[in-house]
This record gives sequence, structure tokens and C-alpha cells, in this order.
Amino acid sequence: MGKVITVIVVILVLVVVLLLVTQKLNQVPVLNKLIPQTAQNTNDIPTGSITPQNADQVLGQTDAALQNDMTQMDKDLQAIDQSMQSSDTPDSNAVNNL
Amino acid sequence: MNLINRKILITITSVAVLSFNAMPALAQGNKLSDLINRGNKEVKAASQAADKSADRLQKAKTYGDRMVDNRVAELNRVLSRIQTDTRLTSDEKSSLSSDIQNALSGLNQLKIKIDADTTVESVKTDAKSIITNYKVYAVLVPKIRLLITIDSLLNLNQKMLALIPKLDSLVATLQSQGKDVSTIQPLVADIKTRLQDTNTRLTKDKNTVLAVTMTSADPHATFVSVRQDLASVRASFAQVRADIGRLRGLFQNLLGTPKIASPSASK
Repeated sequence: MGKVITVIVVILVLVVVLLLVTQKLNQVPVLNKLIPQTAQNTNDIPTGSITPQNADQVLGQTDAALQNDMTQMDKDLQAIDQSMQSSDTPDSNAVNNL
Repeated sequence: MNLINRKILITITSVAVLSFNAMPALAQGNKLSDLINRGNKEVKAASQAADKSADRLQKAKTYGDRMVDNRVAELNRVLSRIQTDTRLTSDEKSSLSSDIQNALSGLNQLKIKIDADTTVESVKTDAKSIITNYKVYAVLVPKIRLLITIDSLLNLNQKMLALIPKLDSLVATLQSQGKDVSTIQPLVADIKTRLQDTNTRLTKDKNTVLAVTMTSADPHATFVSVRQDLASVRASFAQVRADIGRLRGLFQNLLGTPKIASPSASK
């Protein structure tokens, strides 16, 4: 009886370790399926349901994703501003004087 | 004495006659020399002109090539931004990339043509078409960069909007449990209103930018207007973050979950 329990415990430990490793490597989002409230990409907006238990986690993750997107947006706006300052006019004038 | 005088006279007369007879020949010789000198000068001038013309042609080609290279580098930067984006769909990436790929192909063809041009005028014509046919700086790059940002934000906004019914559902559940949600509801409503407004604004901006073509009268004015709109969208997202931060605090108080420092929403 003791041996059976030991074997079961060992198997359970191995399964948990396997799940953690696969989750870590992001190869198979097994834990995401087991915990639906967690988004597949931790940088993304959560897509699962919101419960009293996970509300804080979902909102925190949403905020982090939003912050990432706003950082990217700032870079994009900067690039847009630069591109709008560029002009074909100097080249146009130079070509006329070639 | 008379004999000596006669000899001198004869000698002088002979020299005079000979000199007189030789004058045309001497004159001919001078003319020939002048002609040769003039010819040499003309050949030298022509050679210098040819050198100058070849130099001018080479300079024109170098400038034309540099115009192409600068635009190709800028377009590749935009292409790289599209490819590394995490929000754009594959269809959006493909659509945004196609205009850039077409421009890259056309510009590279023009560079080949410029390198093969034999006159400055041909180079000038080709260099002008770099500007008029592609308008990389005036239209293409700002247009695509704006579309990348708008598409990306629209996708983000859709995901954010999908959270609203779930938040409403949570609030309803808490309310049914007799919990006070009076401070939570206005925040969720504010987030919803802001996201809906952002969606409308971004959709309108996208259509406005898509309508800009190479022949549009004043594309810069359109881009400036959309850029101002994006500044408002950014401010709205910042407010959404502030609302989320306050919501977290309220939920933590209501549900008794441990307090976690929320990131600053002012960023």
C-alpha cells in the first residue's frame, strides 16, 4: 500500500514538473488551458473570464499589456513625427541644379 | 670704292627681292602655325569640356543613386517595423508591406537605369521620377507608419473592449452578493466609453489615411490632423490605465485581495 502511494506521489510530482517546464518553454500552453483566466501571452490582454479570484491578476496583466503598447505607440509617434518632417523638396531642388 | 658700293647695292637689292618673294611663304607659315595653335586650343578645350561633362554626369549619377539608397533604407526600416509587430494580423502585415515592396522594386530598377544613363539630362529625368513617382518622404512613409500605428491600436482596442462585458458581469455578481459597487461602476463605464470613442476615432482615421494617394492635394495636412487625433487616443489610453489602477485598488478592498503596487498610469 505504501509503495503504491509513493509511486502515485512520484508520478504526480513528475507531471507537475513536466507542466511547469512546458509552460516555461512556452511550447504548449498547458497551464493556460487549466487556468483559463490567464492569457496565453503574458504581454497580452487577458482573454478569459474575470472572477473575484483573478480580477486583480487580469487587471494587472491588462495594465502591463497596455503599458507595453503605449511604449510602442510612443516610438511609433516619434517615427511618424520624423517622417512628417522629412521632405522630397531638398532633393527636388538639388536635382534641378544637377 | 664704286665697285664695293655696287656689290653692296646688288647684295641689298638681292636680299630685298628674295625677302619680297619669300613674304607670302612666310605669311603662309604663320597662318599654319596659327591654325595649329588654334586647333590645339580647341582640342584642349573640347577635352576639358568632355572631362567636365563626364564629371558632371558621374556626379549626377552619384546623387541619383544616393537618393535611391536613402529611400530604400527608410522603406526597409518601415518594413522591419511591420514584420516585428505583435498586434497586426498577417493580412494587415501583407497589405501594408505590399506598397513598400512595390516601391522598393521600382526604386531599385530606377537605380539600374540611372547607372546606365549616358547624359546628365537622362539622369535628371530619372532622379525626378524618384520623387514624383514614389513620394517616399511626402506620402508613402508617413502614410504607412500611420496605418501601422492605427491598425495596431485598433487591434489592442478590440481586445480591451472584449474585457468590458466580463467586467460588467463581475460587477453584477458582486452586486448580487450585496457588495457596494457604486465606485466601481463609473470607472468601468468610463473605460467603456473611452474605448468605444477610440474605436470610432481610429476607424475614421484609418479611412482618412487610406484615402491619401500620390495625387492627393495636401497629404501633409491630412497626416497632421490624424497625428493630432492619435495624441488624443494616447491620452485616452493613459486615462484607461489610470481607471484600471483605481479599479484594482477598489477590487482589492472589496474582495480582500492583497494590495499590489499598480504601475503609474501617467507614463
